[in-house]
Amino acid sequence: MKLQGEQILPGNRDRVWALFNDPERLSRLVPGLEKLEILGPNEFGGTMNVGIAAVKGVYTGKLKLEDIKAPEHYKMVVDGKGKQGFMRGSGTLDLVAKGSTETIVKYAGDVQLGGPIVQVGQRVIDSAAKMLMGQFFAAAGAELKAEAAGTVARQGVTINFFRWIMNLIRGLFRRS
Amino acid sequence: MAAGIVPKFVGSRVKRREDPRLISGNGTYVDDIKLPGMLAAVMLRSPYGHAKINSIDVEAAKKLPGVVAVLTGEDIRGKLPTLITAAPAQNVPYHPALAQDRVRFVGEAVAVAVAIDQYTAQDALDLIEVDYDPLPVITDPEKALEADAPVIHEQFGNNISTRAEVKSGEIDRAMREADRIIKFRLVNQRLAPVPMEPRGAVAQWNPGSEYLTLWSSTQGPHLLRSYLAEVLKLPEHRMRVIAPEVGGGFGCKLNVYAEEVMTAYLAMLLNKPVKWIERRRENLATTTHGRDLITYIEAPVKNDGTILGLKARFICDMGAYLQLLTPMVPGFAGMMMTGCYKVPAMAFEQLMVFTNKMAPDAYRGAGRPEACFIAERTMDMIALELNLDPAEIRRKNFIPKEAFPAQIASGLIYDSGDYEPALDLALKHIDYPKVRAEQAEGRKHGRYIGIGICSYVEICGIGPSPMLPPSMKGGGWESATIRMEPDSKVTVLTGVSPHGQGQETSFAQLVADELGIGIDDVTVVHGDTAIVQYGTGTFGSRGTSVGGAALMMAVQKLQAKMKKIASTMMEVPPDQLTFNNGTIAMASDLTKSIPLQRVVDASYGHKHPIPGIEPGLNEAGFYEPTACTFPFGTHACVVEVDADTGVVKFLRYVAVDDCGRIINPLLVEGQVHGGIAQGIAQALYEEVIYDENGQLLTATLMDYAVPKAEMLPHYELDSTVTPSPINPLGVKGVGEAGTIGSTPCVVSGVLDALKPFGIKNLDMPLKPEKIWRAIQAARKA
Amino acid sequence: MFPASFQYHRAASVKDALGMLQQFGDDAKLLSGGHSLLPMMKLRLAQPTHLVDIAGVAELSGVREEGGKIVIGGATIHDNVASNQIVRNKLGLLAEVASAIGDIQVRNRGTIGGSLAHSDPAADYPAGVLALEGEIKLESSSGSRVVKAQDFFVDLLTTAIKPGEILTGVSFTPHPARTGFAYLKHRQPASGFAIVGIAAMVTLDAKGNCERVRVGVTGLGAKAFRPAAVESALAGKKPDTGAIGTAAAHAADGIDPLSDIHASADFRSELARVYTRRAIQQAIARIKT
Repeated sequence: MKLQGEQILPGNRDRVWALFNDPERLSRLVPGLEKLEILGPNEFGGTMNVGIAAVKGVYTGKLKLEDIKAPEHYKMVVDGKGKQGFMRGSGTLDLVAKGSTETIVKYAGDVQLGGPIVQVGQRVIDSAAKMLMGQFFAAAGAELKAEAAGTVARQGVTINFFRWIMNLIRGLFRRS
Repeated sequence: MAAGIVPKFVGSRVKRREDPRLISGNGTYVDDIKLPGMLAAVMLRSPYGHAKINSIDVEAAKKLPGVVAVLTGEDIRGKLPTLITAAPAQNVPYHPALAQDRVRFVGEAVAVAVAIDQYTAQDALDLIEVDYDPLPVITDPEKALEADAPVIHEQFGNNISTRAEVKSGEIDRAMREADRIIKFRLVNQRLAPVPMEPRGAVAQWNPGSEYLTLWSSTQGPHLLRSYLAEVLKLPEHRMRVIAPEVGGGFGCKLNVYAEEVMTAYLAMLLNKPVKWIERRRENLATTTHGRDLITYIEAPVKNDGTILGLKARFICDMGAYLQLLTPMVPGFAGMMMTGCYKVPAMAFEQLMVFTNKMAPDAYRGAGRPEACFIAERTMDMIALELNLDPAEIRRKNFIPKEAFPAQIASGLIYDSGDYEPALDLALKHIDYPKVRAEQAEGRKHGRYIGIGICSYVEICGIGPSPMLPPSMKGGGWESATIRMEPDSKVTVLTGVSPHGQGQETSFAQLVADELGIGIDDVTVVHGDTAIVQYGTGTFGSRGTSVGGAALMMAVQKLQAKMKKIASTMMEVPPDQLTFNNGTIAMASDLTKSIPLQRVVDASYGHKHPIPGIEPGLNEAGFYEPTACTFPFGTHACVVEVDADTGVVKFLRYVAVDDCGRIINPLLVEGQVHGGIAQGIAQALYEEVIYDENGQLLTATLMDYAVPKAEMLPHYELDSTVTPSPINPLGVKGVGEAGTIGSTPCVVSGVLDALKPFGIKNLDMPLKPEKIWRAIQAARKA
Repeated sequence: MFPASFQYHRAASVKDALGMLQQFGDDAKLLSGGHSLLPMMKLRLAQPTHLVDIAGVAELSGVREEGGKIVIGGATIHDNVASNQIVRNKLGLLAEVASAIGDIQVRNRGTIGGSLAHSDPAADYPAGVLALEGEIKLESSSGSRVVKAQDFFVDLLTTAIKPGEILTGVSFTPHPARTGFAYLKHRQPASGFAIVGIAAMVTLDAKGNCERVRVGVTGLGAKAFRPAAVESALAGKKPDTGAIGTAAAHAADGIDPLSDIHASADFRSELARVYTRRAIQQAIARIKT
């Protein structure tokens, strides 16, 4: 699956870069992420526990950053799996300053998804991925705004995200 | 049946005698078998198309209460040999029942959990940890041939299983002498057979008598027994295979599957009965698929439309391993690809290629739908290129009636045929000139009507034995036993294994007429190797033409014996006697008769021994046909394409089939209906889709488009009757004809509708979007 | 397919069900027709600890007329909507949509509440409920509220329903005079779901101009929606072929279309335009004057 798009985030490029390089804050923002461990230089390991309501599943994975050109570019290599599916792939992130208060985030990636969740839910996977990106950027935007205001992003984003994932998985089966 | 006696049952529309028990819920399928202490086995399957197995941790699964055993590929290594392919292939990969070291397609079994019930076994699977290293995946057979393609079986160095060439007649001269050579590429997409009942097996091992009983949803219980004996190293007399009710097979249950082997192995290992039942997702991923053949065609023709030869290159997708007949199916396609036409020279090259997919194998038609598609698309292409009428181009090239028996370029000898009347009848039904005029008129107003024609010939009644691969168990023959019981009722044991074909009905019709008894006086028994003598099984539309002929041999032996007995009782020579209405009578005067029961009493009671005649009434027949039979016919359809949406609508569907002598029109129509449904589904709806990573995207019936009634036309059926000289019944076979004739017919119709757009070819399935895109592209051009 | 173990509870009333939802919280799922929950459980993608079955709750099932509105209980099965005489006579569009859902087995199990709450992007009901401007009643232990169809569908598989709420019913205004309707659907051949489904309802004024045009689109985007540009383009206009064509050309405006093995985004968008045109034409042709 190919992913491509861009989003504008409220924050200058250095701030956005800092956010995207901060495991602590990312682990707080990415929903279900129980921990994001630093495995080595620019290499992280995480466990995601999607265990809300009807859906239960533990996903473990690794994230590696390569080709880093601060504060504008890196490449991400991801590899994660759980009982219901797996994901492998890589993508690039490019930050372009838009004035002094905003940053255009450009992303492009090629992700291989597999396992039961893809085999039974091919029809929504693309849209789901698009939405997942949207959700993530909403969370990142909220974080940046909160940062500017000197507060911490509310958990609401995360909870919505959880609910969304749950609905997504549920939605893999169509019903009339 | 003697001359002068009108058959009561043969030829009449007798309702299926199988149905009352099936539709009232009184059938016994594999999943209905329940044995004391029976355990459930469930397979853990690979989520990867291609990966190295680093390790499998089953400890947590084994500790779960209720779990009896968990096995992986390592546990069977050296204990269970490779699974079997019977068809000749050059590179045959090792195919373990549970994956070892590597997985090569999504769904390949990597472990099995055995527990007190399926819930617990499934719980155990959730506790198994498999560490995989994903490997590059190849799903496109043409790309698999490229030098840098990932190699699926490293020992072969590349992905080619087999390369074979067949050449016959002066094909090079034909190519030289042609006015033009028509070249095109055809794709028979991958299909899933989807029987209503998935696969399943129950195994029971008696350690005291060292006797294995296996119930399996199979099309060939004896074949399965022979192969299992080989794999499990058991003698065949200590094995019993039972095919209970089988809810459809379509070729995919003519195999020896990993799960059948594992179920039997586990029952022996654990000394407990074990049941494995396939789930629908497993059925779509791990039951053999069908077709998946890419063909490059070259047809040398004269400008008057005469075809001089046919040349083809086949790229055959074999999937990751070879199942029982995987490499054999494309061979049939090559041998039959010249269709019902005089084609003096032919050549085909087959490249059988490994990919990270499930193996295809026989699927309703098994090679003949592919062959017919080649022949019929070739005819349409010639008509299109030379601007000739598609019906006339067929007529012009037909093998003429007087040429039969006709040897075709591939060497096969067509038993009998008369192709023009079937074509004429089909054209008459659709009112060909009128519908052509409507088409012309419609085109003026943006209505896109298409007329599809398919004249098919296929090969049935596979036999004699050399027609089957040398290493295949069984043979091209079939068997039957007939027993007249002491109350003069009849039990028939047939070596074929019907699973929807209706031989419990058609065989009873035959016997009832031959013995002058009622149809309810006959019971047909099949599918149990401990009861029925060895048989080869049901596939390739051979049940009636081979199995029925074997039955007739047994019946004749029984008749001879009974006439001999009656002869002494009536003091009339046996050759003057006949069976009539519950009696044995003088053929010349049916009133001079004795009741059958008296003959039966004489035989069983043996109160008055007749010198030279053994007691009892039990006769067997083993019949080896001298050749195959070749049913044929013409299907014609009228379709309309909605140019705005690409949707195809049927206006008419006419099928004229010639399957030789018809024993039961109702059964024939049922076979034709179901066959057409599956054939139309290939043309318009069905396709197994793997993505480039080997993920199966049509993994449920939410995405794999099995046709519903509303997606199919009203069928208008007719027939011609050209008896086969090969067997005493004159029958040819009809199990697959509908599938074979319908696919090219529908494609022909849709492409005919699209002719004004200059669209010459589209690959199946002809989904609305594909048609819409082609129209869009044509409109832009 | 064997689900993980769970506890099954049969609710006797809405109050009873609400109580259980409160008691079990996130561990509980409502079971109505079960057409999406049960397959997901069989695949073990969902493993709820408690299932609260509301299919048998009498007050949730059936069609009734109430204060000039037609109210359909949340647990009413599709076939009971499709065949109900009140619905057929006064709310023909809904009957037509209901009869286009799945197959007869699906229509005898699936419920309107389940379908709407699930908000499948390809479900039929949302298109009809949007075109009919239905009002959805949500009840919780702290009271009830009504959400307009337009506000109900939030995103892919996401609705306005909050945790602890049950969709108890949907109410509709009967078709006014000089109204015609049509539901046209391009079926996904395997599932029977809509690749694109268009519900159109047109009311003409006394002069034969469009008084009100309502269109619901399903299958195209992440959620069902009303194409505002189509509706407004025809408002007050004489619905001739040209005007309908021009309006229908906006059916996919501003939508990020779904794409899957059955239909690409381009094709879905084109189908939406073609079927919108045809549905409006058919709706107008059916108006009894």
